[in-house]
Amino acid sequence: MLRANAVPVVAFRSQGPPPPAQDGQLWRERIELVAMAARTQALYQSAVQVFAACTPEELYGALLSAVRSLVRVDLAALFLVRDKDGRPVYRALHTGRSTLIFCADEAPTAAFADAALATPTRSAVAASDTLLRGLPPSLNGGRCPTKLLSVPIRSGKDDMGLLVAGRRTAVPFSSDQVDLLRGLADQAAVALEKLRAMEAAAEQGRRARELVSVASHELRTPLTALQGFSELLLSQEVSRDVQKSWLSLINQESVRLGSLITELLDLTRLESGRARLSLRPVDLEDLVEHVLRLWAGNGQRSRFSVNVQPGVPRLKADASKLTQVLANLVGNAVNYSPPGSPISIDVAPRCLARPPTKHLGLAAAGGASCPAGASIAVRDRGAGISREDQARVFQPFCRVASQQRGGSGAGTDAPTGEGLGLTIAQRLIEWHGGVMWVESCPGKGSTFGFCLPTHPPNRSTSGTPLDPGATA
Amino acid sequence: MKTILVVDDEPTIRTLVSAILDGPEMRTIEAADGVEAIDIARRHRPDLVLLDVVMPRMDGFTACRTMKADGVMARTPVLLLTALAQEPEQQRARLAGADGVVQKPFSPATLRATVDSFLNGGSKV
Repeated sequence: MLRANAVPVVAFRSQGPPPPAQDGQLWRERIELVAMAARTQALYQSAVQVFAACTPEELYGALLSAVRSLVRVDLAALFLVRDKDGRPVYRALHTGRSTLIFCADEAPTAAFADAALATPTRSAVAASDTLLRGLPPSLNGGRCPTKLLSVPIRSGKDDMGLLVAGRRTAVPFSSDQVDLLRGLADQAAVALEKLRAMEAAAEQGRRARELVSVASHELRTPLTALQGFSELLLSQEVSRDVQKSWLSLINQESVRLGSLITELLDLTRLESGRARLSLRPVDLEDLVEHVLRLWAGNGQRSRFSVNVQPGVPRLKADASKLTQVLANLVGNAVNYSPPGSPISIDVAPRCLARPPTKHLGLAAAGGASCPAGASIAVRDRGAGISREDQARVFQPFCRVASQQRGGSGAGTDAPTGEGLGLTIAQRLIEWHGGVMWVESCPGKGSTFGFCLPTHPPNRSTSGTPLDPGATA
Repeated sequence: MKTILVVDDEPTIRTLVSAILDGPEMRTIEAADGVEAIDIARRHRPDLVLLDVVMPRMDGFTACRTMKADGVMARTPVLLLTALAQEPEQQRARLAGADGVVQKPFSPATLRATVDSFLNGGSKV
């Protein structure tokens, strides 16, 4: 490794005659220093372009042309760890004439991505023959590179992807080239983080706009009933019974409108990141019993069986928020399964989801693993939810077919609007640093569960309380 | 006696529309989603269809397109009952072949007048 302080700066700047032969060592160091200055300059210029990129496409293009021109190679490629299982996905390739950007599911590149994944990512390495063979010839003018160099793009402990350079001659890569590619990979990591932060902000804005649009739709339904029935009552004479039934519908829709607005305010606070958890040690078994007392009044308690496995830790959590989540899951189990059918609640010191159940939101969190310090699962014997509807039930106001969701025997008169309950539950669990999941098989019932870490992340405790009155 | 098919996943809205339209000249039949609507429309040949947009299983746009592509039902007027106010939704309603759009919330008098005009040969939107 070159040591920059080995040579006085004044020697680098002097423009005197060539040094005598005995100064060969000094001269060599001067040359290396000049080369390093040029390299730094080039890295600086590429950094300007890389950081100026505002879209993924611009960033990929800037990175790959920097690899080609700085490292002086015939081919440059970029893989990003982006898919749901945390595997690198081929995103861009620079073959000489142009930069090709691929969608995440580009089929011909899967073999190449697999091969790249098989090479060690901890340090710069010359890639294996598998990687060379895996490269689609059509993308490289039919000529495979004979030497490949691959460096990881890392941010802290987080593997973000791979930057790959290839050349068509058998000359090995110099240490300068390895250093340059490493420098570019560092720039790539910072620029990718910046882009991800921008994407997250845009996603938050998009979610807020979508919520406004969906909410205005949902509010119009009860409003339609209120306006319609009240105008009918004002404009025509009807029997006392009809009057009473219309008035009870008006009342029902007013109540619904009220709770809809409360839920919307809750969700808006969560979406805007202004929510705060009031943390204290929570015993999950106590929490379950507390929630089940809500159903004790109408003789439903005997429907529930509670199974607490040994070793469940006390969690640092917001008890009132967890109560809200669990009450929602239990309420759904009660509403969407035949009257009196058994509902079981499991509490365990580990994740209760059975593979390959997807944990919602884990992919978005960069492929992190389930945080289970403990988990709770609520299982009903209702009609179950089809696979495609399982992810949708957590979306605001999602409606799934009443035939699939309803099991109460009320036919098409069963309530089909899910409202915001599950959406809010999911956000509350996410806010605790946990994840929600659902397992269901049409005809066999559904299990909704969540996994929580023993301590929520720090961000959850900053901000303003969700409902200042309730946390006192 | 004219038959109106009311399609909405909200039982309250179906009850409301029936309360508005049922009378000596009209009777209403109900469906809770697009799939059921198509099935009932084929069997009962209604004179007009009032179709909600956001529904489980099959949305109103799809149901409307399906009816308009069906030889038997193509000439039956379809009015979309929509809570989606934005212009793109109106555009989608036209593209789906709907004959008209009724905006939620609506006044009973407006709904009755709109349905009457279509039963008496109303014009397309």
